[in-house]
Amino acid sequence: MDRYADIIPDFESFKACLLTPQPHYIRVNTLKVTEQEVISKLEKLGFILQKVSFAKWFYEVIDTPGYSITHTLYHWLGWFYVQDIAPGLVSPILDPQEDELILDLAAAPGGKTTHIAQIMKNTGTIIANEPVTGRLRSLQANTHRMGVLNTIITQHNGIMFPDSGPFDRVLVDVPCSGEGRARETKSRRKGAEEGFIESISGTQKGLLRRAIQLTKPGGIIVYSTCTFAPEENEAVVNYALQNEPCEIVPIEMAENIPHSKGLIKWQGMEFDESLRYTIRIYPHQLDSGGMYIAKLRRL
Amino acid sequence: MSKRFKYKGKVISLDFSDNWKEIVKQYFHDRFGVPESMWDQYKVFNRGDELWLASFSIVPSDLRIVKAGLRLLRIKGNPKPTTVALQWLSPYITKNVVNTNKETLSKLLQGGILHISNFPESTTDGEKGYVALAFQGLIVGCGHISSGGMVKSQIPAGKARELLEILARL
Ligand SMILES: C[S@@+](CC[C@H](N)C(=O)[O-])C[C@H]1O[C@@H](n2cnc3c(N)ncnc32)[C@H](O)[C@@H]1O
Repeated sequence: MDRYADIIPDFESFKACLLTPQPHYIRVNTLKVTEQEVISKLEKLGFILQKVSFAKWFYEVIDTPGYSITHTLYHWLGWFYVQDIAPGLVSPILDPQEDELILDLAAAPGGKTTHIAQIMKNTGTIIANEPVTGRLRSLQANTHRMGVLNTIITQHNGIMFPDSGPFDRVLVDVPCSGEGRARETKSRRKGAEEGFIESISGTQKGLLRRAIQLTKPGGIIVYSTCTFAPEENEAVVNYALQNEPCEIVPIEMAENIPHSKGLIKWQGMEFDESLRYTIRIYPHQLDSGGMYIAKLRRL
Repeated sequence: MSKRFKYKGKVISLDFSDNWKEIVKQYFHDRFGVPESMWDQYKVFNRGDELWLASFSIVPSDLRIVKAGLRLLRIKGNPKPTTVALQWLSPYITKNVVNTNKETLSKLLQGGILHISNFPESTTDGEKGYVALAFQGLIVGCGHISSGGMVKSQIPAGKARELLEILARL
């Protein structure tokens, strides 16, 4: 991760944070139950939960009775989804409205799809796409468990997703080198191989371009990764700005959500000025995983 | 059906006819006491011998659809509700509920068959047919009572295994 020493603020705390366990969060599924009902049942079992002030429906799991919250009847019944707070910011930034037509281009296992469905109160239509057969199972199981009814699951390579829509909003939560998950997985702590970063960035560019092409003029695209590598983040969005009719929409974050701005240069590369309005979430700032989020408008 | 998904001049639609919705409305009302108004905001479509529930407003053509909606009811022969459907309807189900406890539910999930007299406070007359299995006041899935009053779980094997593990921890 040392290649990020100049871009990540308070780099020593960042590195120290990667060695600490990541807190667990749940998102209460209001498609099935009320927050009160879930919390009181879980508390009766001995879980201690604390509401997250800046993220609707999210609670931090402060303590457990000695087993995982995923091993409860209420998880089995789809009353909540275990989701980190950093990816939990993405669907609200997409800001889907009731009755809209939404595309989630890389959807498995469905954390963000089920969140979008919840925000839309099961109205409108979500096309949740996933090309990898092995990962479709988790997407199906999660949408089922959470009682999501407005979603159609499709299987396509997102880069060549068939002409359809046009969509009101498209989420492109791309496959990435996953450096932001270093607290969960030891092997990720040293940072990703640069060769991998380079090859995956090609896929990411293809996915973001296709997403923009499928969005209606004036529609919104959100691009996200769970990695720190600028080659997979700002450089991909910069490439899309140069090659597709789109512009950056500044992400407005509440003041109490610690985050950093997108980069406008990196190792000799210069990016469009507007990329400073994209956001970087660092583990030591939000006590979460890492995330990069850009919001664009199709012109 | 919206025209937004026109592709090469075609719009494909699933069969969302009102007849299917009527069957669902009546079945769940008569058997489980689910209010008919419950279904107003949803669509019901048919696929083979099954009726499915959905709320999406558009069905795209030319996409490779893997899955859409929630399987509600098998309509070949006697209608059979799915476990997910009964779970989803849990707050609205008032009749033909078989109340289990940790011991009886564990037995059922392991393939056991128990007489209805083992389930006090159940809201069924013990006649042959499908029932909703409840645990701690929540519907966990589908069960069946045979003509002799014997109760059997209809919860799919994978789901039953998961639930057994949860019960073991209680
Ligand atoms: C970061 S994960 C998505 C996580 C998901 N959005 C969620 O919130 O649960 C990226 C996904 O992209 C899928 N993927 C890989 N290549 C793809 C492609 N060419 N088109 C679309 N999706 C792809 C991966 O299989 C993986 O499931």
